Amino acid sequence: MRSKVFRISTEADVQIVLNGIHHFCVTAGGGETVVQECSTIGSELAYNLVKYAPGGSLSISIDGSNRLLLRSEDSGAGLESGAITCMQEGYTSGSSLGLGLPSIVRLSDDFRMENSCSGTIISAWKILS
Amino acid sequence: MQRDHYQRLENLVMINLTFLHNPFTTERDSGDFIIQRKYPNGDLVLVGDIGGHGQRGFEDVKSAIDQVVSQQPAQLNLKTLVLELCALEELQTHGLVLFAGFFDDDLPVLHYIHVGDVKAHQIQFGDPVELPHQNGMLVLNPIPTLKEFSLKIRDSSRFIFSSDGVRTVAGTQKPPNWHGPATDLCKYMIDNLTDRSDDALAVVCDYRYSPIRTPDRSAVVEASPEPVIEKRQPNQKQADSSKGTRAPVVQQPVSETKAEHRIPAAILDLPSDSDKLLSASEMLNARLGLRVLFRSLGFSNIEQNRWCVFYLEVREQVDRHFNLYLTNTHLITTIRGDRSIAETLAPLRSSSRFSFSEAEQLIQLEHRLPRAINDMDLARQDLIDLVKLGTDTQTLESIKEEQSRERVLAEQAKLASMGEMIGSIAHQWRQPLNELALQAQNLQLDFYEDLLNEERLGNYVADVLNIVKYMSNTIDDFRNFLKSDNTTEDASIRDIVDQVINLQQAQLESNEVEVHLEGDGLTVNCMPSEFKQVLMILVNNAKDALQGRDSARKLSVRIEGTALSIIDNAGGMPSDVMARATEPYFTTKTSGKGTGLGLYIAKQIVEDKLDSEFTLDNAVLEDEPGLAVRINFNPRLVRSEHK
Repeated sequence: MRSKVFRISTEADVQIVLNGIHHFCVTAGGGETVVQECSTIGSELAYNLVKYAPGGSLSISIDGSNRLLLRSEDSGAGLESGAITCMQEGYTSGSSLGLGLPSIVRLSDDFRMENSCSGTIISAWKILS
Repeated sequence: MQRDHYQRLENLVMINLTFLHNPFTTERDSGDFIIQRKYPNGDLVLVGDIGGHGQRGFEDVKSAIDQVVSQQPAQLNLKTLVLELCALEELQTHGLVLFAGFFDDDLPVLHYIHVGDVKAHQIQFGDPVELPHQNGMLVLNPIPTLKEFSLKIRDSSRFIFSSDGVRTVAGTQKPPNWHGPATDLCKYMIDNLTDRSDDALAVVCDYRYSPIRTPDRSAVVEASPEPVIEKRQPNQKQADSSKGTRAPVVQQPVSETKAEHRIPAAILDLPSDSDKLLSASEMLNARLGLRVLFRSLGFSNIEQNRWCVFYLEVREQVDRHFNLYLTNTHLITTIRGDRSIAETLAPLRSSSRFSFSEAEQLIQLEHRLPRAINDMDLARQDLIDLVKLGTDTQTLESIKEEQSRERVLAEQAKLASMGEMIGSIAHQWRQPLNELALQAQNLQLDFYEDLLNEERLGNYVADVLNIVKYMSNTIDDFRNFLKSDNTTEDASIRDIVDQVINLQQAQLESNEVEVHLEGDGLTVNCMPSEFKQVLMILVNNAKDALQGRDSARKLSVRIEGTALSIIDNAGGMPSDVMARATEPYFTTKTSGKGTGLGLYIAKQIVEDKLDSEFTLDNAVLEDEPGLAVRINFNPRLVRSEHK
């Protein structure tokens, strides 16, 4: 299977998603480190969907360059303080540690985010090794 | 552009911008522009094209745009910037296409907003790749939703920005060396990719990022080079300065200091009004305050005197207020003043590192402490306490010891109640986990018996997910319970009792404890989470005490007037036990079961936090002996009572 999509609305969905990501990565032939890092990225994305958006979707797929793509999409109000502020380590609009977005950037081989008042799309790529 | 050296060097990020502008007529009448600005956490680059080709008046528009950019706060928000540009009156008849990009210093990320046909390409390995953007034109052809993009970028990335006068960069027939010198590339684009009927702006932006280890954020960052002020030679007379020959003062950047390092003026008994000269008594008080401080810092008597004299002369001679900052290794003094003040003060403190910033009009002295504060085993706050309390280190240490013992006790109590919480979670999960195991087995059986079809599978999946949801909700319930808040609010005691009993329901039922709740209407101003902790402790104690009982186990929770009572029929307490029941670490439970902290903590919370009465008495519940724990709420906290 080349792609899988999960809908996330509550915290109960997160564990199901993480299991799905883990399974997908292992099946795709990802090494132990890649699997672990994908799970971490997936966890950050999933929890952000639960905490800050009215839920959303998280998909995992393999792109044309044989890279794993984790993509989260929500139709929330976007990052109100702007991406620059939200990417600062320690910044949080909730009550978390504020390390989520910077961690995703660091862990991924490639990262893109599209933020607007009609939602946020985050794409994180990992090279399969 | 390189970061100023004296700022915190966390990452070395360099943006090199090279551009070539080929206006159709003159620079003044060209709508193309480029703006770059330095921010504390990154670099802003704006490349834009003001609409209205052939019109005049672009200077005013550019000036207005520049002003908006200059007025942005240190914490930049690209969306706010773009919206403020759109609101400019000067742009209402022109429109604007724009690339507004921010190169983050802390992460290898480019944030940008890109609207219209300004081109932005990224060159990483091969040919230029166009960056995602939005079509439209700000103000005249507005887009419904402004998008902000963020992009991870590699070290040694190159970006090409160009106005619409430059044809598309990628896919040219005779491509240049995209990775060659930036000036050559700009020239190539202007010479080969423009159609000469429009203004053309070509920009090459080279990005370098090399993260280095983040230094300790709480430390004061040293100013870079040695101060150039000449130190007074030992045989030079003081009269030099009175003759008017002053030591040369050269501008140096000052170290970064933080507000939390600052020693409050009140500690030193110094008036904080900077315009006021010290009176004789104030000087005396200041001298005493300063001496205590310097003594605590380990200065010798001579140094103490010298410093006292210096500070008082600062006040007298130059009529200046000063601020003292303390780090683990340095005492830092900052004084507001101009060059002439700096020249006056420079000779007075030759053993300190003296620096002066013309831009900030700030004089700074850094004096290394005789011993680092952490060598003295004193945290900075302790030092402030020491000075404030006017006490010696030994007394301060015993005060600190007492405080830390209380902290340890509170921590242990928290752990104890968390331990009990985990026990409750485990109990509540046992049954659903059994259910899950059962479902899994049934699923397998159905498969082997060829009974598994889509519908049955769907049912199993739905059941399993329901159980998982229930278990997850349990976590939420307990987590909400554990969440501590420091705010007081008017809370219904009955509601809190109901919540606690609810949480303990599974355990109470399995221990066959019959719970009877009575009374309502009592509202008290309290911290609900703290009070829940008290009730948890008391209900658990009753449950444990009732375990040994063979006949009916009863627990009654009663609200009467302004009092809450928890009564069991577990036989009560002998008087010698009751006398010690609220002592820390005293317990009659068998080893491993009780920490002996429950009643102690419960009593502390009720008496200290709720300012109310906490009593233990032997009582009778339905003709059987037991224990009654009573909490009599302080009337000033009661908002309504049970009638």
